Amino acid sequence: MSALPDLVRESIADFADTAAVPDGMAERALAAGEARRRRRTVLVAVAAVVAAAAVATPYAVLRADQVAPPGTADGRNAVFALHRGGAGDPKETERSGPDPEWEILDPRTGQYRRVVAGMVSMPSADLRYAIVTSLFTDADPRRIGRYDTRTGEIRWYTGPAPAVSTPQISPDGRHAAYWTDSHEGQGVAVVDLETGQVGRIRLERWRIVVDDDRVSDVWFYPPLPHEWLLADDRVTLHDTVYDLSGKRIGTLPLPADANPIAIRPGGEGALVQPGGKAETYAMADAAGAVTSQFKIALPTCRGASTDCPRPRPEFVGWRGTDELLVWPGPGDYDRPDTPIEAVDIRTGERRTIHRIGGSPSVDRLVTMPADRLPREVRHRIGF
Amino acid sequence: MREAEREQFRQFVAASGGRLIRVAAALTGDHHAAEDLLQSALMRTAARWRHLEDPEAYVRRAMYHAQITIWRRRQRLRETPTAVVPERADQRDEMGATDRRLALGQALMRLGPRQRAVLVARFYEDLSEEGTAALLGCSPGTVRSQLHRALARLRQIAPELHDDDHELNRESIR
Repeated sequence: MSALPDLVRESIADFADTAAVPDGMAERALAAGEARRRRRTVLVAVAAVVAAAAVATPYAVLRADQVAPPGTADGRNAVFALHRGGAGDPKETERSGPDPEWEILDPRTGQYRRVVAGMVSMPSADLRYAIVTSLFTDADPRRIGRYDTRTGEIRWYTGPAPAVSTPQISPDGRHAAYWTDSHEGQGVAVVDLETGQVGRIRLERWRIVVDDDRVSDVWFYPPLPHEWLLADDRVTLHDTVYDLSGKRIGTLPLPADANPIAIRPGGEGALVQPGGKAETYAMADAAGAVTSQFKIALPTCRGASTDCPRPRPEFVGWRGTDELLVWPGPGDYDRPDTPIEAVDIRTGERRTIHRIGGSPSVDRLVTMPADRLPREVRHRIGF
Repeated sequence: MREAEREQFRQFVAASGGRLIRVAAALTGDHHAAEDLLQSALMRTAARWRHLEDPEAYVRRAMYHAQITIWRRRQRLRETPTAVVPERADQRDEMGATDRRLALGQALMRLGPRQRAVLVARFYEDLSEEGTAALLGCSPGTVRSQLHRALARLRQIAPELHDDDHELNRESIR
């Protein structure tokens, strides 16, 4: 009888040998690659400007037509930040170029400021602060900043680099944490946003080297404001919860063979993706037991989109206790508006509840609960 | 991208596409997912074409890393509980060999993407531990441990594949 490694080798080879390159793949890759390169070129071009001016001039006033459109009265969610860089009217995109700036909400006024940044986190629990990153180019010192949503001021810090996950802000707005793969080793960097003091927890993870991709995330664990969860690396880290000093204090109960997508508000369970079909998701309770399972169908490519190698719907937030928000991805040339959809976690029923217009289309999106917004603002922008 | 570069890219895909799609299929275990994976990696390659010294290595690395990224995870078969334990195939039986192969194919699909990636790199691409570690961006020790766990998991999922432990262990630590 053959050894198992030999059987594995034969089995993989047998299947792989049946694969063939589909027609037109090179042309599709060329079209999509050039669209991607155009967007990134603009981002690199503004990096030097950001380095010099980001602290002194963190934002400019938004043009009215680029503000996320208002939603419905007494909405439960709102758009906290968005970035435009997807497809849009080619003539408009050619005239203005892909927008290198984020639009970030001032929760007191409901207006959106334009902020040049690489990534933007969710806001702190009091909506006062969020984390922004610099653009992460070769000439950039890879700083992270605490963005004050009221004033637009950014206080910049230099932490271990490179950051390989979007820095997350603690619920109290005091700390930022992110994965880093610096020359000193892999681990989680934690930055005190009052003092600038940097701590790090040395941990091995599966390093990612391809840009824009993520392997590990750092999530602050809701019931424990000063502790965080290291997730999306179940092989080596097993969804371990650490405190700020790096002490391991437990693990998040999750179903076997399931990948965590997001923790429920309050920490009572999580949205997970079982080791099944890509469209299947499940809710787990606080003990790790599956309470419901549903499907979120993959979006289909439309029209002439060059950026559509079958994008996956992305979880963007919770909506009350029984729904979650998903984002099918950027719009395309035919339909640049960006839909946000709600999924009932009990039945899997899915419906579009909000659309963000404008061109270019939104390619990055951060939502937030609307219940802490002032009544007038919530009325105006909530959905 | 100039037309000359576009033509270079087309020639690269024509020459290397067959090898790359087979690696993609090995990584994903699904033809459609393999096409997705390769398409995405080629898109990145096209965007960086003039800066790449070894495009095939870049595509290969991009596919491995994309495959183990959460939002790009592809279809894996879900374990189905059953009230009746299936009979084990007789190892002397030709049909039993076929059953074992089918069982192995199913079991491979139930491995996590990282463990499957290690198996593909080590057994399909015949990379060394050091080569696999460099490709995946981890230590050789991690490759060793993941390989051992992957094989152990396969034996757990499909007991009919249980072979000579000594042979298995010898291979996994080689």
